[in-house]
Amino acid sequence: MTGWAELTEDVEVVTFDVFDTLLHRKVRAPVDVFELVRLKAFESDFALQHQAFLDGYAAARRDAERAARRAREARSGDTEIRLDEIFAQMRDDHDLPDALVRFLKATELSLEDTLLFASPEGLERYTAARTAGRKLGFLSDMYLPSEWILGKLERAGFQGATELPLFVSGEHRVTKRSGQLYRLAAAAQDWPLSPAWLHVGDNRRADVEMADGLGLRTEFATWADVANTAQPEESTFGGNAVAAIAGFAECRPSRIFQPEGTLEQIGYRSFGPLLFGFTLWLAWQSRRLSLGKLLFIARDGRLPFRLFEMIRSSAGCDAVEAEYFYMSRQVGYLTGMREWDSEQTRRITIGRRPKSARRSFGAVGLDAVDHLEELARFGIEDIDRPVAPSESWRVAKALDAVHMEVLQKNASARADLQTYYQQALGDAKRVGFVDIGWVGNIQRLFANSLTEPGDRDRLIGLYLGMLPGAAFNEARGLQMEGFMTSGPERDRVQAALHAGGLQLLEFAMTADHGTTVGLERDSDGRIVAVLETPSREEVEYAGKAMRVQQGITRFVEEHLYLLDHFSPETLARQCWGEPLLRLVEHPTPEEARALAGLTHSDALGSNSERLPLVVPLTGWRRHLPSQRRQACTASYWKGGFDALCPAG
Amino acid sequence: MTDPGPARIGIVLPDAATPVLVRRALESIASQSFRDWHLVIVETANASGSLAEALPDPTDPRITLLPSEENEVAAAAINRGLAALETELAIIHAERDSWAPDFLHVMARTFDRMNAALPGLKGVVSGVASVEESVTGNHVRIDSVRDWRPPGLRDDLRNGVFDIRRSIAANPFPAIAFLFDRQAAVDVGLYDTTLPVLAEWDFHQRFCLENDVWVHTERLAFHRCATDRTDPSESAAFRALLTNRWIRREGATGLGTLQVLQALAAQGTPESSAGGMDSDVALPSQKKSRGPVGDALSRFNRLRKRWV
Repeated sequence: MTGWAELTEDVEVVTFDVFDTLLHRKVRAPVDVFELVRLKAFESDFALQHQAFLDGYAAARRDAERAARRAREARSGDTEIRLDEIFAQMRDDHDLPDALVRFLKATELSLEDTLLFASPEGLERYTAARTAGRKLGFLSDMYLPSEWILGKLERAGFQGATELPLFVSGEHRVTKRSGQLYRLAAAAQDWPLSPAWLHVGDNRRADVEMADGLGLRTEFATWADVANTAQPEESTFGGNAVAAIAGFAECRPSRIFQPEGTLEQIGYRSFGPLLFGFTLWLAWQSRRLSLGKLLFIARDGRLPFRLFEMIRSSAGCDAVEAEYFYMSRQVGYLTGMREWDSEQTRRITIGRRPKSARRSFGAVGLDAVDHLEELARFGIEDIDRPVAPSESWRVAKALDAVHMEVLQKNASARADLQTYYQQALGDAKRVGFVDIGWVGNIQRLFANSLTEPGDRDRLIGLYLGMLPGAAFNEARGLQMEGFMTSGPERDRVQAALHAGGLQLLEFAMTADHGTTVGLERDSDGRIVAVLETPSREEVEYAGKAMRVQQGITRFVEEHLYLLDHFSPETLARQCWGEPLLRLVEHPTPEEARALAGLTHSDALGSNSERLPLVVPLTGWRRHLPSQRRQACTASYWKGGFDALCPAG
Repeated sequence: MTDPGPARIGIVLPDAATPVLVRRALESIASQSFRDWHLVIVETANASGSLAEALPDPTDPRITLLPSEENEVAAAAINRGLAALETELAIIHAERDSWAPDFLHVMARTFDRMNAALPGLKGVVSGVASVEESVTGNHVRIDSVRDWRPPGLRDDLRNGVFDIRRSIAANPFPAIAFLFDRQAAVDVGLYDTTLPVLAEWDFHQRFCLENDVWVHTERLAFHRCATDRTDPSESAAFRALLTNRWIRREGATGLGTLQVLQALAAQGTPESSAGGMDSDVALPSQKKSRGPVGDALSRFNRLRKRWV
């Protein structure tokens, strides 16, 4: 508040503009409130009879305001209107019943009340002026009722606001823009049209130039940053409402809600909306599918587990049991290989980084030393030598040759350990199996580890996203649904996942404990998970993930208020993923720098073998197309590569 | 001590002749997590009494060894084995084939569950992996494992009720994957002993025409064959035998239908070549006619590629 003391030194009166000066809305632009009203309207029975009208409600509401102003101008020569007149205009234009009009108006006021919050800069100035004993007042070019605005100011923290004079253009039919509202206020309150009156506002013409012209002292409210532009017609239902809320994170007034730190802010702005949508979707699926329990699978299920616990009550899911379950692919392969599928087994032997035969055999519980003959038959002489991906078929063939041994070892381990899985499943008739995604292998391994084959049908996989490879498990009767990948943008989402989104999400959702490397019986005979002791690199990686998760958690906390107005079903829209898609496809250089150095491990049961998300390219190599191509291919995150090494 | 009654699942191991394979088949059965089974081994004349050595425990009451009968065809051996059973469910386990340890457990449970939902359902079939192997004396070496698909069908079986249309083009699944209601098999007349080959296909087809079968796609069964096998030309030679029987059963109506179908096929519309059965059946691809210029260009390109 630099210079405020000097600015107010000789001032008797301080007046404030209200909207975007003292109060901000938690949406991308003020007109976005109508998008939220529209979304709410579709939860009501009015949507059954007035679907076409409500479908275009946001535009209709904007049109009604313009039409009401024109009508007023035709009648009285001015264009200032009240909220009632806007809705009366809309009722007449669209032949709407009064009940619907009342509902829409009440919803708009209720949402405005929720969305408006005190600007810290505005509140600071108001409080300082009030403490200094200046005469205070408010001037607003607005259609909302003055009584409602004063009440809102008081509720937002502007103490004593209800006792102060407020001049609203809609009620007095004159505006700040024309200068007449200042004159009217001056006359009514006996305020001097001189530098003894300081006016603070965010509209350069109405609040600054016009007041200056009348001799007032002014302060331009630079902290508003509002562009009141309407969104184009939405392509998916709820898309505009979600964009309105998620888009606010990019606006300056949102900064007070955002945590400090680049990673935390990336978490808030890019991952937060997606994880919020996913958590709402989980709540909705729990209700839709009558799930008795949600089983959140380690390690990527840790964050969704915490977020679900946060929203559980507000989302009406108190009856749904939630449990965090320690499992990994590595552990699953020791009990869940009930069938033999060569293609699936082949995946154990491949990865971006070559794997040794010992590691691949170890993944299915075998010691390669006992199978030197089979390995030699397929050309593998040294079991510790990493096998290039192009040669991994040799190890896969050797595994094929010993498939009965793998299956028998699995059957034996399964008989010993299946109570661990059975207990996790519990008694619930239907259980949601919550994980990050992508093809449902862990769900299959879990289901195959159960005592009763039919229990597989009690499990419903609820994933952040699914890739086409999930078809293998779907064909086996596994029930799975993916949040991000179930909408009309599925192809784009899957492409983004393949272009680094998958690795970024796995980073953002990782837990701060090691992966599950085994199961053992404790002194009481209970089966418990054995967790890996993370390496230094892994600890550092998890530490960064925790910072991103702080931002994600903050976003979810900040947006819980939406559940006071909307059901999880209404809010669970795929478009919450849009900010993340933007991050994956077109990160800013700052975002790319913050995340490109991260490493990713795709090796089963090993987090120590890690590769960077973006392969660094420095010096003259940046300018050689062949070097660029190679580095880009080797980078998990293509958008990050482009941001850090722009072509040309 | 009360008689525990017949076992739940009867297993017929027909044509048992090779001790090393029979031993492996017995291991496959013995390692099943489901224990309530009765095994009938039907010896062939070639076995010459050496099979007893392959049995881990000749006194196991769950195993019955039926001696060979002269000039008995494979289908008759299967029927003899099935007739010796008193179990509710049955399955044929060829000496070459094997199961994953949970095969019987999963299949029996799936049968119970699906039969309760669909009383007309009398069988369950699992997914199959095809294992190519070389047998030399008493040494078995696995060369490769891949998905098993019936000849002529491009896609995998899908979880759910088996679609009878899949049994028209070829034997839709090998016997090792098919657990069935024994009485339902008796009702359809068991294996046809008059068929020199393709009796398994014929049996599956007749069974599926009368009863529903559930597909459980986990690859729990292993159908094994020799790596150096030759194409089953015998099957191709007798393929028409089954077709003739189907048409004869339908009589003049069948002929009429056939004529209509042939006329439609002769029209060769693009729609018809896409495969009427959800493209399950692979139809021979038709070469596009390029015209004289196109043909000349193709010849030129072929020559150019050869030259390069």
